Amino acid sequence: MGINSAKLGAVLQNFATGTSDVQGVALVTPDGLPLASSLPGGMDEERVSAMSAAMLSLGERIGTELTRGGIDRILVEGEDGYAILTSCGQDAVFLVLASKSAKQGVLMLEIKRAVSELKLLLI
Amino acid sequence: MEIMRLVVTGPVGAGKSTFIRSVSEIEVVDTDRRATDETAQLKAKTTVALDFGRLQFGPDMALHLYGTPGQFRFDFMWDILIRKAHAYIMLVPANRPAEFRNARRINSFMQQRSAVPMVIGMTHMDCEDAWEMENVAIALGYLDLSKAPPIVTVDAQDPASSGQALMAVVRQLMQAHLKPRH
Amino acid sequence: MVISGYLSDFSLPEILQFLDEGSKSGLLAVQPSGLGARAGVASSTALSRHYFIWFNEGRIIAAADQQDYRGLVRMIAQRKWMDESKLRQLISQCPSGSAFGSFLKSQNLLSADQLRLLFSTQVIRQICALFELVNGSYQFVGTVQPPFLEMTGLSAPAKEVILPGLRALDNWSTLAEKLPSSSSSLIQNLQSQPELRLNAQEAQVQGLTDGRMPLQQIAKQMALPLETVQKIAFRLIVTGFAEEVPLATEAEARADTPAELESAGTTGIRQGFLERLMGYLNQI
Repeated sequence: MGINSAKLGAVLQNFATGTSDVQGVALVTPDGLPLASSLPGGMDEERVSAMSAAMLSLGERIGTELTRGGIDRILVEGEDGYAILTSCGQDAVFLVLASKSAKQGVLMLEIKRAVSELKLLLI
Repeated sequence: MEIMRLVVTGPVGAGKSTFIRSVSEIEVVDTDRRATDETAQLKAKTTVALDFGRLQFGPDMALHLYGTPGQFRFDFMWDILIRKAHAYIMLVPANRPAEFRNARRINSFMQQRSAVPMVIGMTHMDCEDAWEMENVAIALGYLDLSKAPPIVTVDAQDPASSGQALMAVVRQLMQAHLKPRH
Repeated sequence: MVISGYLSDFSLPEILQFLDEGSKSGLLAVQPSGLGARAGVASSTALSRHYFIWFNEGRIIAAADQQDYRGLVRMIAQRKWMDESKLRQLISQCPSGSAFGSFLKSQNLLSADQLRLLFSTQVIRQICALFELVNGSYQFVGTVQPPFLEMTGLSAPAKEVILPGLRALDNWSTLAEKLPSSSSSLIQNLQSQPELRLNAQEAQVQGLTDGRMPLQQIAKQMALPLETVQKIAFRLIVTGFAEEVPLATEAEARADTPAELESAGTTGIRQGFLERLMGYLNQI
């Protein structure tokens, strides 16, 4: 396959610094291994990856069992911010951590753009 | 509805998902993903969140089975699942000594969080290179079998054999009822 | 009982721990298939060589790198404590079923100190060198006659060799996967009470086996590199002092009182429920 991990890292880095209110991002495999990430200090990449994969797999399962169809994204809204999981093709899951002040509409649009860019790199 | 929650845990490739599929009467809710780590050498797919199976044995009585992922990076799932469990069974692949230490780690993780009754199920005992039950027990740290939890042989693909293992768990729970621990 | 496999799956320290804790008797044969840098002497002959370690109820009674039962005799001759013809004669006089070393001592031909020196060279040093093996296979056979001619009459618990062996080990590549995780903590192993002398650092880590403190933090507290603490922790684990406990998240390390733990399980499940379930399972 020859995934360009340096380039993946650069796209993530750009997204994290260039999108307002984004605090961290990670791209992980569906079985929970890190591909690339830019995370706040103190957050363990491996752990974040495993959690993202577990959450998305459960979400997708809920999608089918409860007849919600294919899952576009999973949104966790907490007191201190958002965690948004977006499926990024067959081989990756995209996690974005954003602060509470983020504008959801803008954020979703930015994520959509980033995902299409990332998908090209994963082919 | 009265529900008993049983956690099925153990290292990678012990047969946890297979076990739950063998005994569940509903189609198992699984969260399999294609394995990309060293697990891939062993099997194509691996559980990333949980497996869920059910056994309804009365109009208002059911056994719920929760299978954990085997890899350590999913230990948060172990934690979530064991906290609500009434009992657990740890499956250990008797033919893969490389996993004995991992089984031991998982077990001490569970013991640290829960004092519920447990049973050890040895799987792959029919393999040529499988260790004898007594020796696996030693490798798991149970040096005195009289103080070890019940150890049973399980063919995870066989519903009857898996059912026997479940009975060993139920027996443990019954005993816990009779002699409350302090 | 026969157990065999690869050291990459079940490492030498783990094998020794298993044989010790299981009080096993028999012969362990180790065949290298690649040597560490330090042990890399004349590798072609060394590679085809087997190493033999004999056990009696979990204690090591002899070790050799040939199965001709003349290792001990060679060591004595090498030290010029006795000449070979004399030794040959003594071999024929040694009563069957008694260790050759003990026999020599009973004849006042060797002192207790000399025997201890022989044992240390034959067993401790030889096995410690085996820890350097990067690859290899092992086979343990449970029904084997003790090698009386190789025996000094002394023995040591298998675990006693693990500590010096691992302390001196340079290349940990084969054990990398066995090392406890940086986020794991240690608890006391209540199943075994090893009677071994720990060094200062090992004792200090052993003092921190509270099931709460991750190795990372222990390393910080002791101002040691994390890897050093992981290696110490591994030594404590394979000698039966401690047990690794993964911690999941730091938030989960919070104190769950034992009372809480006890009540969680059996409450809510009625005996009648269990009986019904049992009846149902019986029919599968």
